[in-house]
Amino acid sequence: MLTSTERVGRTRIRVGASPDGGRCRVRSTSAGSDPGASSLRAVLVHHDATGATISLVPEGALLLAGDAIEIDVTVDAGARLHLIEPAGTVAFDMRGGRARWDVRVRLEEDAALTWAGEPFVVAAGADVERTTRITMANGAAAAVRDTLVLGRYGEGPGRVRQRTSVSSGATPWLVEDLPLGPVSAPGLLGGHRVVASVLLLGTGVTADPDRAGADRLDLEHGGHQWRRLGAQAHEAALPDAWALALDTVR
Amino acid sequence: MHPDLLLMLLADARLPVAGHTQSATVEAAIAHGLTTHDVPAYVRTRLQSVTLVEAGTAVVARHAALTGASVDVVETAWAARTPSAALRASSRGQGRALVRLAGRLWPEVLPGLAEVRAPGRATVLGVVAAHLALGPEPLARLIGYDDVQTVCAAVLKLAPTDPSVVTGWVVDSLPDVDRLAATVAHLEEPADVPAVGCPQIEAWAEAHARTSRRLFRA
Repeated sequence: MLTSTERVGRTRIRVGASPDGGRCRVRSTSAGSDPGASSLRAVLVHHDATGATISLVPEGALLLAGDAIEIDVTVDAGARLHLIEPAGTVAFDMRGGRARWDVRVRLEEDAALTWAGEPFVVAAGADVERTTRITMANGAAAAVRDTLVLGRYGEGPGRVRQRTSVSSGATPWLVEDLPLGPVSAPGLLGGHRVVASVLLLGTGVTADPDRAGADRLDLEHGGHQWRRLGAQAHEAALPDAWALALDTVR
Repeated sequence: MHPDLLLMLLADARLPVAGHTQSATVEAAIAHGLTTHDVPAYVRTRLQSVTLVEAGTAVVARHAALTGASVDVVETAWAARTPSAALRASSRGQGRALVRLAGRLWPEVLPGLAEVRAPGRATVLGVVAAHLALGPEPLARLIGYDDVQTVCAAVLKLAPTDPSVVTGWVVDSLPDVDRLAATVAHLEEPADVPAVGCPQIEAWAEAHARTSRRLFRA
């Protein structure tokens, strides 16, 4: 929803398979609704015939009241994209304001995406709508890591409405809505302040090391969501699951 | 037949659908440190998350059964909102028991469920409610009320507590049950089914499915 007080920073990334056996095609744009708008710059880190690695580098202070970050990612048929982030993101105290963070991912046939998300910290007083929508064509695969932290060390939770949806054609694979805040978070997260998750979509694992297996949710239409709750980000980390998901998609 | 009587029948713990094997994950919660003091908050959390999803699913399944829309699409929407395979399996186990019972009492219900391979409890209850002419709001109240009673009855078996105190928790939760019903009663589209997840309950449910030390199936 665009409101007059919003500053929109939009990043578009599109990766296509190489037309002639050379390096794959990468297009990216970053644009702000006004000069003061913060956004994420897509920095090409590596680029070859099979895929591209792009780092999402924040330009300007993120994430403040009125910020609206939009990230649009398309991976064309047969192409591969690896997204990394140089650092985590902190949503600061918004003093009654709000911000939003919208991610849209479209994976065409046999496309592959890995996204090594860094912690997203919702400081006390922050209020964020964070939405991730992923659509998967046949044969597409994705591994997505996310760590949501409610409150910086020693402070109470901010407010975040985290919506995730994954679908293929008309079939929803995963739909989740987490309305987390000072009142709801203690119940929904059992008193924890960190939710770490690794999503593996469009493919599955057959063998799973024991340490990763205990945190694994097996989704109805294949794919998995590993999830761990913790008091601190390092307690909730899922290194084994993430390594496994990366190996599976690569 | 007055719909109130049918509603009482479906809400009765003596209905032979193995309700006594269910704890609504409170057994796992207690095994992981939830105290009886925390149970009212646990009930509230369920009514705002996993039980809201169940109630929304039942209401939309009822609408699909009445309008000839696909009940399987509703089941798919529910399954996408239920990432825990343990919770899906326990709901489908209860769904199977309900289908068996409904097949004896109201065989006309079965064709409405034929397209769904293994319908969960909410989907089955929605289709049964459509057949019995139960309204969406009573149906949602039934799901909410049954969930609260399932938790509270299980707590009585797991931790020594005064039953009148526990019944007091049920009574205290009734306004929340009513709110839940008001939230979902108007829903018609599978995409509109609430999707509020509860990562902690999902983790407990998965742990419970793996343990052999348990009194309740789920």
